[in-house]
Amino acid sequence: MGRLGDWRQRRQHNRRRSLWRDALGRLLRNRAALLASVLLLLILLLVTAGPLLSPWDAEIPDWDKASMPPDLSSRHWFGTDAIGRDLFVRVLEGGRVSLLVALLATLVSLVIGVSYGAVAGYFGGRLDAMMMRLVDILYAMPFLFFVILLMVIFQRNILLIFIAIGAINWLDMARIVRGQTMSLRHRGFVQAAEAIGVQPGFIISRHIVPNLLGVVVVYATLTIPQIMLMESFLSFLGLGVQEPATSLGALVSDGAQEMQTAPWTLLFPASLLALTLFCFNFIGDGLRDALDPREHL
Amino acid sequence: MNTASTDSRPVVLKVTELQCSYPVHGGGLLRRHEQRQQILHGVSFDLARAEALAIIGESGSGKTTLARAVLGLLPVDHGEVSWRGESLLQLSAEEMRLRRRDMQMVFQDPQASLNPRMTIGDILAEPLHTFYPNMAAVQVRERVRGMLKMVGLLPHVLNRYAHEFSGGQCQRIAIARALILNPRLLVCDEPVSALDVSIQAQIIYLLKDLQRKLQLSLLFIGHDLALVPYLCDRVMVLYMGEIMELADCDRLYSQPVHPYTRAMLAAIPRPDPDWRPESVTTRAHDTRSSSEERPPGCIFSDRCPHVQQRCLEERPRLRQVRRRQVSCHFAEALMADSDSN
Amino acid sequence: MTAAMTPSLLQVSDLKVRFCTADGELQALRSVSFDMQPGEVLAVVGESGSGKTQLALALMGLLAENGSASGTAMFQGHDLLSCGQARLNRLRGSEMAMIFQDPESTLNPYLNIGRQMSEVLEQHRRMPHAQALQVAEEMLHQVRIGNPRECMQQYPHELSGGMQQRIVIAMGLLCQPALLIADEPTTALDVTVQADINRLMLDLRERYQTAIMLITHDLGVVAGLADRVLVLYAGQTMEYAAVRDLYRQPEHPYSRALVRAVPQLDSQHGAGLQPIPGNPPNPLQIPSGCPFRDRCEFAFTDCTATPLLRPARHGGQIACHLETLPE
Repeated sequence: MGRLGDWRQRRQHNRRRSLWRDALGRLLRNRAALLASVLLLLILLLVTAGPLLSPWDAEIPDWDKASMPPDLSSRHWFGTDAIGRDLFVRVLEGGRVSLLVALLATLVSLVIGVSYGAVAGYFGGRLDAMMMRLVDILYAMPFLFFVILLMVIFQRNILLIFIAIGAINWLDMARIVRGQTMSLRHRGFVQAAEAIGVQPGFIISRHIVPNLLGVVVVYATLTIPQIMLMESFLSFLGLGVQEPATSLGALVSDGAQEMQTAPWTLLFPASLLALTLFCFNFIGDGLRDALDPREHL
Repeated sequence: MNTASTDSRPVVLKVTELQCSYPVHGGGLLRRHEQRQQILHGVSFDLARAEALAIIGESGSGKTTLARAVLGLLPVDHGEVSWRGESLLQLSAEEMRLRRRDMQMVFQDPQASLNPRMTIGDILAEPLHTFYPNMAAVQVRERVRGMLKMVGLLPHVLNRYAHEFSGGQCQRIAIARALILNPRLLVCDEPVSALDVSIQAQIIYLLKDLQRKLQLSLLFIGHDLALVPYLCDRVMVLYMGEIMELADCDRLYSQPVHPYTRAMLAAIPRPDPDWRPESVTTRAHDTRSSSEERPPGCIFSDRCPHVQQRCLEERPRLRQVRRRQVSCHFAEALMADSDSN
Repeated sequence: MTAAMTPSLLQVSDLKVRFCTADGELQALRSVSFDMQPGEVLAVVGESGSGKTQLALALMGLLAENGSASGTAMFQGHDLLSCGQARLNRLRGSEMAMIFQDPESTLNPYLNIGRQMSEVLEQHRRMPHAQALQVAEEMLHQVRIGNPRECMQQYPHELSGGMQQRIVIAMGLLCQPALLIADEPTTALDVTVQADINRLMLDLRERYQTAIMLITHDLGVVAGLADRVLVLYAGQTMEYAAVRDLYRQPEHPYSRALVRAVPQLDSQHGAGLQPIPGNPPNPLQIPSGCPFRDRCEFAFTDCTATPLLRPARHGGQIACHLETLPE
């Protein structure tokens, strides 16, 4: 192999072999997950910069061009909707809103859920009992009622939507994190940290949370499609984003009404929604395999 | 072997009549009455400054429970643990946490005791960050490197992760971590049981070396009597939560008194194909299950080759018999017996 | 070590085990050959990373997904490494059994002992339930469990480690296998229990003529139990000898060091404990030449070349350059 080979070997062995890097390697070797990641990146790119490609505006109606099928010459690549707005731009914009809501709501639920669950799981006892009773009570609350209440008080607002969804979703995350924390608490290195005298706050942040991030990340990735569907559902009911802003759910709702006469108004938004959901699911599955605790090999 | 006369040195750790138990759920779906299983039945001992005491026992003897109870990592039912004159069991959780700077622990499974997502450097620096949050980064690095050298590891391990090292190396790292705060007491919970025999002695010698150098008080928990004399001054033999014998190392090994001690010594394997362990010393089989009641008499009575009627009725107490402590009704007779042999 | 008159029970030739990992190919075993006679006890000895457990797993067909074994392992006329899963399933549990270090991981915490044991017999011998329970109870008696009937009703967590391991051994022997592979069966147990279980295995060998492959890192437990010893280091055979030869006149420096490393009280072997300095090599980074080179007290210039397995003075085999030196 010669000197170059030796050097390469040495360099490889001197590099930090962090578990995250190993996991990333495994993820990238999973073809479905890799494809899904690439696709998702493309979608993200498209919803951010895509509208720049089109000369049309998302909000200005044009009664002359109402319900036109896709037509390359006029650059209405997806056609127009019932009041003549370009569907391509509206679909991308809807996609952006849906993704934004989903990502932000997931972030909220992650932050609240992880801290809540880790604290309850680590301390156990009465604190845990109280905290989880609160979660049980919140679980019992009807989601829709809560959302409608918020709508009535604060008017329809995109911020509200993701707060509402995040506020429901953190409950699941908290339960999962609590369960994981309770089993992590008995692991050798956590007991060692306690024996050293590390403060509880640092034990949670330094030892518990990093070792459950695997589960959390997987769960979050699989929650995003759930939230997108939830948001779509709300929009479908007319409780989602307010016109003229739009989301994939609202577009699907509108498109469903035009299904007979202008099927493309349903087809495009529904396809983008389905594609995005598939991507997240495949990535979530890939992450779960990559972060499998069989990394002790 | 050590003939340390511990009378001259001040006692730093004093454990008195320690009793610990675990809650155990009653079997079956509906019977959820809480039973407790008693693990320690009143253990008492002293530890002097710079002294090494071995606590040897089988699984189920309560040795790990004892180690953790002494360090306040487990709740205690009765008894007293006093460190340098201060009662530890009366302290609040936070007060106890602050005392931990002086009392550190090394665990049985070296890899499991190291956080797989932290670099070795961070693992070693953590105790310093915990108790000396204002220590300069340069100083921390220096301390960490110094500690690595002391346990015989090279600095390149600092950027690596625990899973890249062997059991023996991980245990060295764990020892470095335990000693980086310069504690006065080091509790080692079966530190070599998970290691290959060929590596065990390396760690024993390392501990011996460090104990001498740093004048540590050492509590060594284990199940193998063969390694003990190379590390410890005194030995305590524990069985089912009670002390059977407690003596200076050389006295115990040259003249074991308690039948259980004798059984354990006789069972130490020898690398000799023609040697067979003596079967006379352990009579009955190890058949007691955890749910059975404790017999009223001596806890060792069902396995003892010298059992008498008194042993079945009356529980012996740990008492001083000629410069050692033994828990046996017939200690004097057994001693005289081996004297004459 | 030539083939005896009776056909060998197990004949392993050129066994190699490889794993495909992210960091490249890992050679866990590099060409190991040995044989076992019916009723023989073979000890496979080595430190962590020597490949001894992978040897057993390869024979049982239990290697991890990314592992592959090559070579041949003839057992009862079949090559364990290339016969199909169906045949392996028939053999495992009935003709070949394996017991592991940690009895807790073998025993199902949700079933009582009787149920777990009878399951083995019902599966492999198609015994009716009542008969299976009887046979199981008898076997528990054989492994010296004081009250077998009561034990059958109990759950694993109610029993001590020693008892659990005895039960695991009993389960392994239920179908009276021709070969029992025991991977560090007493490492997790205490000395008194260890001695007991070793005696037990000898008795059982007498009674059932079961061949036992004992895998361990401790030459202390092997002495009274084994007939022959196979010493592995970094996946290679270092020495293969009859037990008396290995202990009385170990020829390989590694074997010598292992014998010395057994902790003794009466300093028969010189003063104090005698560890082997250094650590066993990382299986991904096995040095070229003789893998024991950096820890060997007798290493010399020839050791940079890989030693071949040659017949040894005591009649066994040895892989060491010292053998090639003139007397």
